[in-house]
This record gives sequence, structure tokens and C-alpha cells, in this order.
Amino acid sequence: MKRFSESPHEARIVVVDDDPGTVLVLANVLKGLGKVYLATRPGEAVSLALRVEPDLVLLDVEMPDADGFAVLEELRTHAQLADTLVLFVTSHGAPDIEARALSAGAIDFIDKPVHADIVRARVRNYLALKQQNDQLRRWSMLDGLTGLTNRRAFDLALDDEWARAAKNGEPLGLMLCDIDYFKQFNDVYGHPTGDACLQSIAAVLRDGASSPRAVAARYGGEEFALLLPGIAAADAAQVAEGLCAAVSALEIPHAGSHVSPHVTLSLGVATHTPVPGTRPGVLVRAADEALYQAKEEGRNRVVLAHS
Amino acid sequence: MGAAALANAGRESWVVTEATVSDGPLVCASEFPAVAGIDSGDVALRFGDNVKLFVQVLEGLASGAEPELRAAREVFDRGDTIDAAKRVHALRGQLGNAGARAAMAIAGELEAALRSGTSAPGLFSPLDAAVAALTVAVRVGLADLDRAPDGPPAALDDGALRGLIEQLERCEADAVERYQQMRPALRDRLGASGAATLAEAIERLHFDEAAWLLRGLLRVS
Repeated sequence: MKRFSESPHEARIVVVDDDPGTVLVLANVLKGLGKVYLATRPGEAVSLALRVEPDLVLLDVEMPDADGFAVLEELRTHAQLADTLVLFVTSHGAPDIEARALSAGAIDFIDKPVHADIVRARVRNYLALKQQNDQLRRWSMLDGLTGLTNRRAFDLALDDEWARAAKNGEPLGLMLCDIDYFKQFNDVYGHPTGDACLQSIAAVLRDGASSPRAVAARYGGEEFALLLPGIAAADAAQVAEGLCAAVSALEIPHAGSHVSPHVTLSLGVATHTPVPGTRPGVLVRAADEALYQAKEEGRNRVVLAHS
Repeated sequence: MGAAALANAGRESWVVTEATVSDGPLVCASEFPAVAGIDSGDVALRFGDNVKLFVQVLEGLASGAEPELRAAREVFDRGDTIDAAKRVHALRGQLGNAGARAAMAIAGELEAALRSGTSAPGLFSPLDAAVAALTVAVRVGLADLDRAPDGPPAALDDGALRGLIEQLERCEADAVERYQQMRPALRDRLGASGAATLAEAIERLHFDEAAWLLRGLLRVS
């Protein structure tokens, strides 16, 4: 699954053509539409695209050492480039080549020699389309209230990280947490204040996600999850204790709580080093059972599952 | 204009000069240089008002078109018409980009002939003539441009050099412009031979090679 940054970025455009003159002309034409990256050798096109993760690739159909179709096919094998738009640039003009390129996944064609105004207009339109698609996808992956990853996106991230951990033989940590007596909180203070409380807890989780690969999510109503790739059990427990302390330090009044005058969390923590071919259900169940145990033992605490 | 007419136009109007491609900065070319065989209206559609870039493309054409065609012919002579067609296709793109529409059309005819399997003797002759004439015309056109002599090279500090290397390693288009700005100072540091190697790497947009050369400068400083 491709992870999305929370705000739109400056468009990134990669231009691939064996003729440096054409590449420079295109770079000049595209000035102001985004950050432009150049390649004149087909072999470097894919590695450049993987590094840059462009929104749009302008790709020559025919180059002496490789054809654009092969480059496009290779681009499509990488998940992080699945949404990258590819616009073929060609002087072929033959309908069969055009049809083949569109079937292969190119979004459109630009004729060579290029016409500056047409290239700019077409690229601007496709970048706008890409930006809208990205925005819709981002919204479909985020929880509207807290801005955290939503449940659907979290489940996808969990599958991804589970597979990665299995491949690399790394541990994967999962933390599930509940706000203690949240129903009572809403009853006492009302739902708008309840929403504000959820946002404050979400911010603590976001800040507490200690590595760039960590995924903080709103898992259910007042339930949150934190996925911690590559973390050992003792470290995961430490992160959980830190989150508990950070939430307590917010001192959000909670007159409905039976365990504290302030809002507190119960956390269940589990870690597991998966093996290939297994599913992450075992990790989720272990974290869930630890969370249940934390509640049973009086809430406002961390319970680490036995691995 | 056919190949013969184009070739004659080139020979009648200009004198062949050697090493007409200077690396001095352009100062007063506010309009596209007029070159026989190049459609200035077509050029304007592509280059806007960027005369400097057009000159850069012409320089590429002046130095690269004939070797490219020669390579295509050699491949053809070895019997590989498909590879020859690909090379002619690449040349056609280069000609079209520079606005050499007539030569581009001739290249298109040759490419089509090669793709259809034609291997008649003299197949390359029209394009040979067209490219030769165009190369002469372009070289003369470039020689007629006023170029300012380089001023004394500015000091090249490691920070600026590192910035350029990083842009090159990231394959950023802006690296070319930054290189142009730093070129006098780089020439001073690299010497004529090193500067020429660097210029060639940049001209071909082989950024990795250019960055590698510049990293050598950082090591000795």
C-alpha cells in the first residue's frame, strides 16, 4: 500500500528521452509546473522514478537501447509507482503504437516535435487530475475527525508491515488502546468536547509514533492503534508507558472516570516476529486480549501480551 | 525543400568553419539565429523566447547529428536494418526538436524504408546530404552569434560545489542552469581537459558522470 503524506506536495515530473535536446526543451516547457528530473538513458529511468516517486513521467516511446513500453512495464511492477501517470512522447504517430501504449497503461500521448503550449496545457491538466485523485485517496485513508490513518488503511498497512517483517525476520509491535470511560466522558461533557478529547489523544499518538514507519490509527470509536515495525517487546512497552504518561499529562478533566480525575488510557501491547505465509490476526488478537486484561485489571495501565 | 536543395543552400550561403561551437556565454542574441533549413516559426512554438536553450540544442545538433547518422549507416552496412531504423528515428527526433523540418521529413522517409526492409544502395544519400548541409548551416549560424568573453572566474566554494553535485545526483533539471552559472569557475579548477569532459557529460545529461567528476574536486580541495 502506498502511504500518503498529509498535505499535497509540489508536483514531481520525470522526463525520459534519449535526445538531450528534447529533454531540455521539455524541462524548459515544464518550468513552474513542478520539480523536473531528467534521464536520457532508459536504464536510469526506473531507479530515478523509484527515488523521486513522480506524479507524472514523460516517456519517449522509442529509444535506441530500450523502448518506452519496457520502461512502462517495469515502472508498473513497483507498488509505489502504481499511481504515477505516464505520458508517452513520440514522433511515431502510428495508430497501432498509440493503441498499444494506451493499453499498456499510458494516460496519453504528446507528439514530437513538441508544441510548448500544448505540452504545458496537457501536463497541467493531468497534474490537476492526479492531485484530485491523490486527495480523494488521502481522504479515503484518513479519519476525518482526528486526521489519523483510518481503520481500512490501517488494516492494509498491517498486512504490508506483517509481510515485510516476515520477509526480513523482524519483530512487529502493535498497541491497541481505549480511552477509559469514554462513554461517561461524552455523557458528562457532551459530544463536541468528546471530539476534542479524541483529537488531543490522536495528537499524542501521532507524536508518540517513534519511527517514520510507525502507523497511528483511529481503530474504532474511542479505540486507537499504533503499529510499530521492528520493535522489541520491552521497547514497545516503554513506548506504551510513555503514551500513558503523555495522556495523563494533558490533564483533561474527566468527572465520569472511576480511576482518575483526568482522561487516561488502557493499553494492550503485543509483538511478534512473523513467518512468511501467515496472517497478522495472531498479533491483533494478542494485543486485543492484552487490552482486555488491562481493563479487567482496573484500567489506566499497560499490559504486555506474552509472546 | 528536398535534400539536394537543402544541401546546396547550405553550401552556397556559408563557409565551413572549424570549431564554431564556443562555450562562451551568449550576450546579445535576443532573437533566434537564422539558420537555413530551420523553420524559425516552428522553433518559436517550442522554445518560446529561450534563445539560449535553442542555441544549446543547435550546438548539440552541430556536434551530434553527423556522428549519429554515421553510426546508423554503419549498423545498416552490417545488415541490421531494425537497429538502423531506431537510430534514424532518434536522429529524426533531434532534427525535429531543432526545427529542421525538411531534414526531419527526409529522415522519416529513410526510417520508413528501413522499417519496411528496404536495403537499396544509396538509401542514406538524401539524409547524408541534408544533414551535412544542415550541420554546415548550423555551425555558421552559431559562429555568427556574439558571445561575451568569460570574465574572471568567481571563487568556487565547496558549499556551492556540493549544492551542484547534490542537484546532479538527484537528476534535477535545475542542475543544468546552475552548472552554466558556475562554468567559468569550474573551468578554472578543472583545467581545459577536465572542463571539456564535464561539459560533455552535462551536454549528454549524464548527471552521474558529471557528479563523479565534481566529487573529485571536493576531494582535492
